[in-house]
Amino acid sequence: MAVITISKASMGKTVADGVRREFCYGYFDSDEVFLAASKDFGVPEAKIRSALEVAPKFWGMSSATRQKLIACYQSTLAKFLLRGNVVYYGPAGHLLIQGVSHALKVFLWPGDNTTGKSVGYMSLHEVINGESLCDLVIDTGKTSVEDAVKIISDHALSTRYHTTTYSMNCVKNIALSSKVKAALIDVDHDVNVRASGGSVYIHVRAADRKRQKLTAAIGNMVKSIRDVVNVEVTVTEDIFQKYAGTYR
Amino acid sequence: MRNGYEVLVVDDEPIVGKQLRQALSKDGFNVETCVLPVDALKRIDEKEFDVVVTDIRMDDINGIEVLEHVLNKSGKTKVILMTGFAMMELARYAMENGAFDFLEKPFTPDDLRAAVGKAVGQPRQFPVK
Repeated sequence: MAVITISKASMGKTVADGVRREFCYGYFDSDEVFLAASKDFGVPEAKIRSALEVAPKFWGMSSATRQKLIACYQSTLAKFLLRGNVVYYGPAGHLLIQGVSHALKVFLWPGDNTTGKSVGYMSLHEVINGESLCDLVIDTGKTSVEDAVKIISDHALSTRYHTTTYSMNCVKNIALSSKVKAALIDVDHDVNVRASGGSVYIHVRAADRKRQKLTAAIGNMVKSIRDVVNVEVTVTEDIFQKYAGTYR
Repeated sequence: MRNGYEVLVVDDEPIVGKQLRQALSKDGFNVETCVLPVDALKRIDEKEFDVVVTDIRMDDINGIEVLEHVLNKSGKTKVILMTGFAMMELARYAMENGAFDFLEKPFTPDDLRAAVGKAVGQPRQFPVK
């Protein structure tokens, strides 16, 4: 059966609770994930919370730190979703868990009150051009809690959202790649990590002279992470560093 | 030891069929392999299999057509689709159209055995890593 992620909104918790009751599913929210991520990665809970919930400011958290904390959250969230038959209520579920066929991603949308356009519910294709970040967008301004629960439940019953071996592996891959990403962001905040099975494919950029050292260092760092079986590191030349180096 | 369950593997690459046969035979399944989907459809008409494991991307007839053929013939046979071009939408489409499971190639023999085991109602338990 499906994993259901419901985005944060004014009546979101009530909707999430209604869906959980409908299916007798497990339930967890962002507070639980913040706490678990804090334990998993040894980072203060408030920091992870602020990375996800507080808008970036000029003097605030650096982009690299934010990405690292988001990767920690993502990894823990994916681990929670591996339990199956759960409803997640919290921020960014539809952004952090992409490409998982058994995840029904619901976005609660306050609606377009300025034009008075009634949308009821619709696929995100109709809201955001061509993007399929969500499976379902519900206009909370025009839909009651009972109706929202019914709409979500009807969708979740579809065999489209049944768990497959592929989709479970996708969640495992997300959990592993985000764990590795969190570990490597200090090396390069643009690090690109993909996991498949236990194999991890990493792409970073570095100056030519650092390339060999960095490959070995990343390999050693990642091999010690649990569930990693094999590591492949690709280091491409950082053009900016190359030219910056010539003027030193 | 044979468990009596009949499995048909359809893949246009003979090596894949051979490997899957080896993997499933270890669990006691009677495995037949077909390289040509046309032959597979004939075998499906002749015999009721418990599970059909089929590749999606093949010449002439694709895995979704094999799935439809199986479901038209018997509701009892479970179909597991596999592909090297897995995508969320394809997985959802397959499940919506009656597939029992969806595997991305390459997969481990354990993944395959677990999926086939689940299809015949004998789920395999693997130690959690």
